[in-house]
Amino acid sequence: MSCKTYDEIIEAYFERGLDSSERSRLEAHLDACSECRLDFALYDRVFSYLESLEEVEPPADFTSSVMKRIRALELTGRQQCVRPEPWWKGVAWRAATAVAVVVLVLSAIFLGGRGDVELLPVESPVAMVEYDLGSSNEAPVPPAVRNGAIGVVVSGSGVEVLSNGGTQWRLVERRDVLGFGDRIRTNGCEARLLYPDRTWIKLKPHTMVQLLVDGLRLKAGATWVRVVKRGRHFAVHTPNAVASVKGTIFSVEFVPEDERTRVEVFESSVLVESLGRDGLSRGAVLVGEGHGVDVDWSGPGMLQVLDASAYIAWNMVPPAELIRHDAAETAESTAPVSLEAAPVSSGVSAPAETSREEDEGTSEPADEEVTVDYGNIHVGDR
Amino acid sequence: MENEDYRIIKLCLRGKKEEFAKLVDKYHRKVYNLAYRLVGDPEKAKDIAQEAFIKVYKALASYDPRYKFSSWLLKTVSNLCIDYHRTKPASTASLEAVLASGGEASLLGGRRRSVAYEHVEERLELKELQSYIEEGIKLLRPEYRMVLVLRHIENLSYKEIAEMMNLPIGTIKARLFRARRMLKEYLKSRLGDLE
Repeated sequence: MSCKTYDEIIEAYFERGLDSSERSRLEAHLDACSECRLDFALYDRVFSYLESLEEVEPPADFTSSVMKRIRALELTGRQQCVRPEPWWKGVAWRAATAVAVVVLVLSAIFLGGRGDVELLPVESPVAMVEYDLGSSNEAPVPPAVRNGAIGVVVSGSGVEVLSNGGTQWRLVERRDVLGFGDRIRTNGCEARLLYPDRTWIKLKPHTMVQLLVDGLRLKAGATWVRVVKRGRHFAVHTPNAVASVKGTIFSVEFVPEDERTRVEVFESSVLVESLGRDGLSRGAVLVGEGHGVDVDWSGPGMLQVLDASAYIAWNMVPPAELIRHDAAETAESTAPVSLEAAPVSSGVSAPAETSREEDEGTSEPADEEVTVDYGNIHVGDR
Repeated sequence: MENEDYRIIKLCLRGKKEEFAKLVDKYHRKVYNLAYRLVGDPEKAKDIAQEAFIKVYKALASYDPRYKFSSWLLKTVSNLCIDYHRTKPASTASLEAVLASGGEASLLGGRRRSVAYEHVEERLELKELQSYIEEGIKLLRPEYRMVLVLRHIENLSYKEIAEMMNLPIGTIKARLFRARRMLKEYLKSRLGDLE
């Protein structure tokens, strides 16, 4: 055995100790080898020194200095996802009310028309929470999705859930199992819902949704939906609209302050059904690719051509002709208000889009029915 | 307790930002000590330690409870220290380079002496010995210094260090071994000088 090997054995002697046979072998070698004896003595000094190192005392005002800087941060509003206040406190029209009241009011208003889906069986777990581990172009697929449940992937630990029939919002945790009827609100974070058929939905910050058997109920905020599966009905409901679709990419935003739903279609087409306060249809409109529509209690508005900002708001690359159009006529664009330009439902300005993913513009052929139910619309592809 | 940490984080996320002071209080010694040992300057260590807490606070919502909060925090400190070393022009050759290029020969102006292995015991008691080890540690590259600090001052296990540095346990063991061997070789070369 070379002396170099003994370096490792001597090291091990100090690091973890040796068993008796290793030890006697080392001792025998040290008796015979003066160089290793010196090494042994030097290692002894190195280890003694390292083990004698003691903690140094941090400055006495350390914690208070850090907290002072944190308070200053709050004032400059540099925080992203940690919200200084619950998002609903920023809703101007309900500024002074407590969360329970807001939730009740939202339920009363937004579910009034379609109360039939409010109480859903929860026996079958439909969703499982995972944390976002990356920023790849593809939606991450949590294990739950493989088991046929909906995966909920959140961008941070500020997303909350209200169980169906429950009254207390709580922060979602990894491996949380959600059921139909449960509500999710994103607060300052973002979340994605991943369906077994690879349909997936992005929820912007300050969005609240309820999981439905056939889709989603959007209570406030904005969602982007990419539907890929065939032969299945999927809908996004708002209080006054239901958007039902098959194989397409679209977004739905509901603005509680002005009780307006906006549907924008980026690929294929979406059937948007307008609902009155009585829950009965006020007419439907087929919204084609590159178009958007506003829906209020009175019915769907005129179809509008989307501008580039509508795509950019969801991290999509706008069609080339829109970019050219925008560059040439920025000042006098006749395009309708984009998602981002619309008032943010919660009254809190949504943090800048942080998701780095690119949305693939190549969804599979549309021959499957999905609906999205929002309060005043039923968005469906029929 | 880590669960306690997560509970505090959740409170912070609900808007109770003052709760964060508990986490600062709990970990500031560890954080400051790591920074101090890695940068060797109390003022800079304070800046880095505070910056680490602020960074973590700003990213609190992205905290993944599968990992220890303390690991995340110490990892942030070590990254900040590495950044600091990157921006600072190297004033001295690393110990690795010194030893590779002939040990004391380059350190001691070209004289290369051999150590007389007999009768070294009394020299090993020399006070200088301690300052030589300190010198050697300062010459170590940050990644070596970091494992020494985490192992010997923070008393972390290999596994904890590996998790924190996001490296395999084998790499951590190898770095610790190399770091201590370099210190030993450095001492040896200094003793040669005393001859």
